[in-house]
Amino acid sequence: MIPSAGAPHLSDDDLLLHLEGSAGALLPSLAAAHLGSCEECGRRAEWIRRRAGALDARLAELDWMPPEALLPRSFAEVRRRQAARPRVRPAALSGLRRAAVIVAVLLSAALLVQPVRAWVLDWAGARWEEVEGMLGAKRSGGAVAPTPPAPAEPQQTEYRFTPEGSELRLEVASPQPRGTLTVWVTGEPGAVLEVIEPGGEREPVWVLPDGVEIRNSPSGTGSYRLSVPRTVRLVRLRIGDEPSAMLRTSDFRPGEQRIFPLRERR
Amino acid sequence: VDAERLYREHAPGLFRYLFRFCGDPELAADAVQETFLRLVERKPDEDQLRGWLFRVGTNLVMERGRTQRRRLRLLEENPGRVPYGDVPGDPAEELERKERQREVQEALARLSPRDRMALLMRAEGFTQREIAEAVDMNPKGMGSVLSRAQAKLAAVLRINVEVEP
Repeated sequence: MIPSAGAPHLSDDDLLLHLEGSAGALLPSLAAAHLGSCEECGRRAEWIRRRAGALDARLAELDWMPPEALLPRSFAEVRRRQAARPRVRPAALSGLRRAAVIVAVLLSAALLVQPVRAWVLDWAGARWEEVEGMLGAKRSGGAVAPTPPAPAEPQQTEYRFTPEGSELRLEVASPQPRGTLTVWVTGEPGAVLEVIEPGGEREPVWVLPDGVEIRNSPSGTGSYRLSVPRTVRLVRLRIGDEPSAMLRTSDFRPGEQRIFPLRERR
Repeated sequence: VDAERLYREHAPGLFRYLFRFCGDPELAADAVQETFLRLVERKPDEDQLRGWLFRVGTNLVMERGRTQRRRLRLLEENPGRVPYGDVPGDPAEELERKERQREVQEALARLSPRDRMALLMRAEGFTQREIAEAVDMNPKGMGSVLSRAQAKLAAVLRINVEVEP
């Protein structure tokens, strides 16, 4: 809309569109020409621009978490997650369809003469039992489809950090009924903690300046694998209230992994 | 759809946006992955795939909002701990930084989800037309929505901008 004599100024919409560089209601050249000659609109445009800048600066204060700390670096991780998804079982849908057909037949049966109606009701009763079985199996999680669902693969998250000193601390809050803790001494420069959690589990991990703390639940079943660079000489390992174990990386053969079951007391 | 390329290009920006939107890094990261999974599975027929990604991601964090409370409680229980590798700085500076972050999060939470989405998408460089498509509204009214949302956020955060005559 070209400003008329009665409303000679640009609207907020036009100013915002002009500032983002989009062609809005006004042609960009007309808006620019108006801003060049109208002091008031020029001031408003500058005010809107500065306010947006000040807001952006405050919003940027929230960006303390680098995406790479939590997002998988490669899309392969997303694909792995896709493979771990339970599949939809079409049989449950066909059960619902069958139920709908039976209800339709029952409604129609009301219009039939008595002997035919009795036969239809018997037939519908038998079919209904079949459908109940199918839907009941679905509700109880039983496998109805000919192919069982794919086993859920654990989700994996990696946390990378660089130890500051030659010692690295690894603490697990509690022992748990399943799962392992693997320490692996590598030639890589940084330490990597791999958290392998069965679907739905999510245990907080705290990366500290000198190591990692896993706040696992005593009933959890996750496993953890820590890759340690050779530059770290000592790994201090503690599970729950148990005494610390000290591991010297010089005792590890190249590529050696040591596995500690989380359920065992040492 | 070249999902891998889209992931490389847009996952960090989508994470930043979702983290600002919900304040929970784990929830944001989870929603980013789930969004890209849906991209692969559903192959949306859209011209504006970036807008589609942001819309789906927003819906996911809104659906799973309970996680946010879990994370906040966790941080309150461990005020001295900084998750995921941040080396703690000066305690006074750290406290001030957290206070300012909390202020921004609370100010954002006062906006309606639609206004918050519009404002944060704008900060990610979306045009008004793209935002209007993502929030499913007429592009003509988007300028007013953005203007009001910015004014409200600026008022809560006590941002006063002066322009010399």
